Amino acid sequence: MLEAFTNGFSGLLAGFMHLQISNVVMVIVGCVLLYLGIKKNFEPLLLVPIGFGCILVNIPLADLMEPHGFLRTIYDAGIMTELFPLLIFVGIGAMTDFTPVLENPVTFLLGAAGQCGIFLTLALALALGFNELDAVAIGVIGACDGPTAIYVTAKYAPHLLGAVSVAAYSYMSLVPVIQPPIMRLLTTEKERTVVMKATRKSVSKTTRLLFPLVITILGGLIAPMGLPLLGTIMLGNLMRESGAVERLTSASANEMANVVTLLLGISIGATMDGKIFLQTQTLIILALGFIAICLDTACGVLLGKLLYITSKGKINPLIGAAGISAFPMSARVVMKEGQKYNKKNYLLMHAMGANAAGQIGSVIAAAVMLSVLKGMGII
Amino acid sequence: MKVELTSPIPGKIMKVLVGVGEAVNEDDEIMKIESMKMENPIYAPAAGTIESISVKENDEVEVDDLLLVIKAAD
Amino acid sequence: MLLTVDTVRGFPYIEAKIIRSKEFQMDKWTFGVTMLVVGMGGTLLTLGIMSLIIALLKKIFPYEKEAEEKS
Repeated sequence: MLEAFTNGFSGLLAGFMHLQISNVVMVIVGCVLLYLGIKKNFEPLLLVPIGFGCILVNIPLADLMEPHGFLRTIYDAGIMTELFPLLIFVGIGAMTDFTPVLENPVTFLLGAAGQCGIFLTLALALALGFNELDAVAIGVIGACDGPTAIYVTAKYAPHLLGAVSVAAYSYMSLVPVIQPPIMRLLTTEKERTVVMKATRKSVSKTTRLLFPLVITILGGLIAPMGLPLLGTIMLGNLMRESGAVERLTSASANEMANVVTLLLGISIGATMDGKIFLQTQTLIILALGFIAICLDTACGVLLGKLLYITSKGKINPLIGAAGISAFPMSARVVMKEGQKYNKKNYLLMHAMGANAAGQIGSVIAAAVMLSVLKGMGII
Repeated sequence: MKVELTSPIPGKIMKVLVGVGEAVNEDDEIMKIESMKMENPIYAPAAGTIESISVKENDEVEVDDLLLVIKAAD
Repeated sequence: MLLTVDTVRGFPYIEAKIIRSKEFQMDKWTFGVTMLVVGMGGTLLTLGIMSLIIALLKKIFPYEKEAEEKS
């Protein structure tokens, strides 16, 4: 009888007995993420489930990530299969209006320049000793796009999923803080105050409808490894522009996106086991992620300067900073900064164009990266 | 000289900060437009008196829609 | 724990790993430079081509004010 009591009671104490310092630290990390999401409004839709998932997985003996744990089931269902980021992408495509990009196709190039940070950071990570696939996952933080980063990392460097996701989503929220100093540093007073007039309406409904179709086919042929990403975002956009499937578009942008975001967040948090997350390399990854976004901004603004010269002073280099995929935060930052230097300057629509171009740019950059890797035989 | 202020961005008029007949300076904030979930201040393009206002709060505007006309002080 | 995820993930992944260690001897320098040049260049080029195609599309299907207002 007494033995039964002791054993039974030990079942209640076992959790505390197995608590390791790494668990405690990670629970604190999870709480920090919750704080950032709830109080500081840092991408709360992701950081709250990630933070909580992190706490859950670090309470010992619950075995939530072991083969039959419920977090593992969600992880296997959506992250291992890559379904979660792809389904979210359908929603993003359904929510995004690409008209500002289409009004001025030159902005596509800004969307490309804003991705240079990915490749530069990849090289930097290699130089610091990371292996090839890890460096790819670290570089893709510079895509500044949650689903893209998760897609690449889950497939090719799943042990880095926690670090990369936390970096990607935290820095996206920090864009208003990171970008303005770089924008100011790389531009002259004259360049910053260039007023860009609103563009005439030049995009027909047909163009808007053909755009996702053409981009998918062309992009898929050039970089087939990225077709899952490209195809899903363009499917969403096609549905939106067709106007013929209002229910599907709405469900993609709202119900599906919301549900999948929640499940995605929990599963990412569930990968943040202390033993894997609490290594020096996590801090290095966070630092490299920061550098990636700074480089993205710098390259975008520099190309903006080039376009300023080639357009004979008509393009304001500041919009180059919106060439990153942090939509629409970056466009808002550019609008504010532009107005700061010249009150008559309303760069919002142009910045939106660059920002949407950045969305496409980040997908193409990831697609190109993966296809090049495939060509080289690494994946 | 009449100066027309047309909307530089699409959105919804949040607040009109001036009335007809009021005097304004160049670059004074005269209106707020909500666009892309952001509050956007609109500044006066020239100094003068407000001659007419073509929009009111909660109106939806497109790019280039007329917002107001200023009679510029010479 | 997550390491077991990798090894349990299925044959193709394991296979790729084995093949890689046998014939893949590219050094990091070559890899890095290739990614920078072909990767960055490929991205810029692809988006450049896309911008040209969009400009073409706009020419073929121009914006018509009356038709647009109706739809």
